[in-house]
Order: sequence, then structure tokens, then C-alpha cells
Amino acid sequence: MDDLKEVLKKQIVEQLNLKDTKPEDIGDDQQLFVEGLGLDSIDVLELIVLLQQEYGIKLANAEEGPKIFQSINTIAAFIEANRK
Amino acid sequence: MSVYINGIGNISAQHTVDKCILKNGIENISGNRYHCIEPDYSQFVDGKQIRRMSRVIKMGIASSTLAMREASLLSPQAIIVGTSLGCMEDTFSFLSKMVQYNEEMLSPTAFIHSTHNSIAAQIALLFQCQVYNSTYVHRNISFESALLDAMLLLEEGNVDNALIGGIDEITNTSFTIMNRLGHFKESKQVTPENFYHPGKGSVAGEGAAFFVLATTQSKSTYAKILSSQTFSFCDSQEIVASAKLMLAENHIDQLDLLLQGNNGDADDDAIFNEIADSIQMNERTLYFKHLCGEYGTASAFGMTIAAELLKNEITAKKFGYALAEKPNTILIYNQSKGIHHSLTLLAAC
Repeated sequence: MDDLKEVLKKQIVEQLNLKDTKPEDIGDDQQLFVEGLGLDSIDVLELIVLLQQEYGIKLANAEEGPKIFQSINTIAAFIEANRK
Repeated sequence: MSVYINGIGNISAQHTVDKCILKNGIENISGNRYHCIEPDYSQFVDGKQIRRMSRVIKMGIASSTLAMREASLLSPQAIIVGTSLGCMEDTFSFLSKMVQYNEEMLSPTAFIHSTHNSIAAQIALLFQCQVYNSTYVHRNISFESALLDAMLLLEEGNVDNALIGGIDEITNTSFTIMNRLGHFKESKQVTPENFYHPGKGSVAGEGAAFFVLATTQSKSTYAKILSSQTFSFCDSQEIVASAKLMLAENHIDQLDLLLQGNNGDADDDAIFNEIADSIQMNERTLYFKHLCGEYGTASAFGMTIAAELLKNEITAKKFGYALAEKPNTILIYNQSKGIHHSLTLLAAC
């Protein structure tokens, strides 16, 4: 699980082109949106694409999005639970 | 009514961003691909906004900001951009991913910014400017189409000022494709001394040149634009007749300078030379593409040179031009492959 979180942080920094943020700067429990890392609605789409491309996971219910993309911990848990 | 150039922002293969070119002179470049000398974009956009912007958008933002700062304008009344190829980097990224992922799971950022009008849109977003916003995509007369639109808006009294620009980027992919099509000379063939030596193909260039145009003169005014005209699929005699008519309509008996877009390609330059010869300007013709390379909106770079020449006595020497005195009238003529042509007439204020 820890390895997955580290990989995920690197992928997020790369996919979202977070030039001023290093993967190690992102806390496992840090809020990713608004006041946390400052991500926005377009970033949600990028993260959905990331989950599909890297982990083969399709987000079936869009309403689950806010819970899943809350933090690195919540995304990693979602991947672990749904990874094929 | 006159249209004045009150501010210029120019990112090119020369040191034009900080205007160091006016102190230190031109940068001699070799090879068949001229890269822009770019500023630190964090001076112009904050980190959160900049991360989604590709290079051409950042070039547009920076050069439009520079033009607006120089004209002391906080918000333009119109934003009009001319681009020949648009956002190539994002287009290739989007298309590559379409192929790679079998037309599924496409990155939204590359798609959003792959459209040609992203540059004008991002400028409007940055300046929170909900005014007339238009982008012209018309090969090598894209910039002049934007210029004509702005002149019409100003003429009709709809606006007092307009931000216009010509912008294009060259990417590794676009360079490779155009090189394969024979658009460029071999790298080792091109040196500053033999740029205009007739051969097949030219040199790849890129750049972003933005202008604040206004109906009133200010302290920062460079020059006034008297007229601009575009032509497509016509013969050289029509261009010559139009150039002569343009000069006559503006009561110019003797033009001081013809600034042409010769590019070292033998076929293109034959057309340029014929025009210069026909309007008897052989002795007073200068070129500008050895400074910026060839690209669809290179004439916007040409207009920055013309405006600088009309404003400053020192410019000619620093730009490596041998001129006995500062010109008062300049006609810019550009064309590509004999298909689309443009004439723009400027005068000193």
C-alpha cells in the first residue's frame, strides 16, 4: 500500500504537471482539492483518465468522485479495492 | 482616422523580450531551425495557471502582457489573434494519445488547448477580459487578417483600442514533418552570411508578436498603420497595382523603405524580387526573416521591425541594416509559395 501511494504521488505530479510540487511534498491525508493541493475540476478529469490508463479502473458512479479523490489515502484505497 | 501602434510585445529568436537587441544588436543564428529566446514565464502567470499551458500559450500570454504594459493598458477592448498552425504541441499530444489509447481515455487538458483559439482565450482569462475575442487561421495571412479586423473595429468606432498578435510555434514533430516535405534547407547549409543564398527551402522559425493598437497617440506610440491588404491566388501584377494604389491613396510619392519577407527559398524569393523590381524599390528594400526564420505569422515580427525602425534612429544600425537615415514610410510585403500575399503600410508619427 505504501509503495502504491508513492507511485500514485509521482503519477499525479507528472499527469497534472505540478511543477512546483515534489511527490514527497504531498501528504497521504492532505486534501487534494481547493485549499489542499489546489486542484480543480479539470484535474478530476485528468485523475479519472489516470485511473483508467494506469490501473484499468473505470469510475462507474460519478457521485463517488468527491470521496475517492479526497486524498492520496482515499485514491490508493479505491485502487486496491478495484484493481483487476 | 489613424491607427497607432502604442505597445509591442515580441518573443522571437532575437533578444526582443527585454529589448536587449536595441543595446547589443542582433544574435547571429545558424542552422535550419530558429528557436525563440523565451522569458521566465513565472513573471507573467502564476504557477497554478501556468502548469496547463503549453509553450505557445505562454508565449502569447507573455508577449501580450508586454505589449499592454508598454501601452499602459490594463484591459483591451478587443483581443484578436492570428495563427497559422495554432497550438501544435497540444494538438500532437492529443492526437498521439488518441492513437495510443485507441480513441479512449483522452487527456482533457491537451484537448482543450489543442484548438487554435486557446491563445486568445487564455489571454482573455488572464486579463479577466470579456470583450470581442477572435482568432484568424489563414496560413501566412493569419496575422494580417487579425490586423484588418482590428482596423475595421477601430474605424467603425466600436472600440478605442485592440490587442492583436501573430503567433506560431515550431515543435519537434511539426519540424520533422515539414522538413520531410522539403520546407527547410539542410542545417549545415545555413549560416547568417548565406541565409538569402537561393536554394530549396527556408529556415524554420517561430515567434509571438503582439501589438496594442489605438485610435489615439500616446507617449509610447511607435508608428501609425496607414493601410493593410491581403490577396490570394493572384498574379504579381495585381500585387504591384495594389501597392501603387495603396501608396497613392496615402499620398506617398516616394516610399522610403520596402520590408520584404524573403526567406532564402529560390522560388519564394523570385516572387519577392519581382515585386521589389516592379515598384522600383530594389535599392531601398530590406529583409527580416534572417532574424526570425520562416513561419506563418512571421510578418507580425516584420511589423515589429518596421515599427522600431520608424520610431528609433538607432534601430537600423542595431538590427544590422545599412540605412542612411531613419525612414518615414515603410511598406511590408510578405507571401508564401505565391498563394497568399499581404501588404501593410506604416508611417512614422
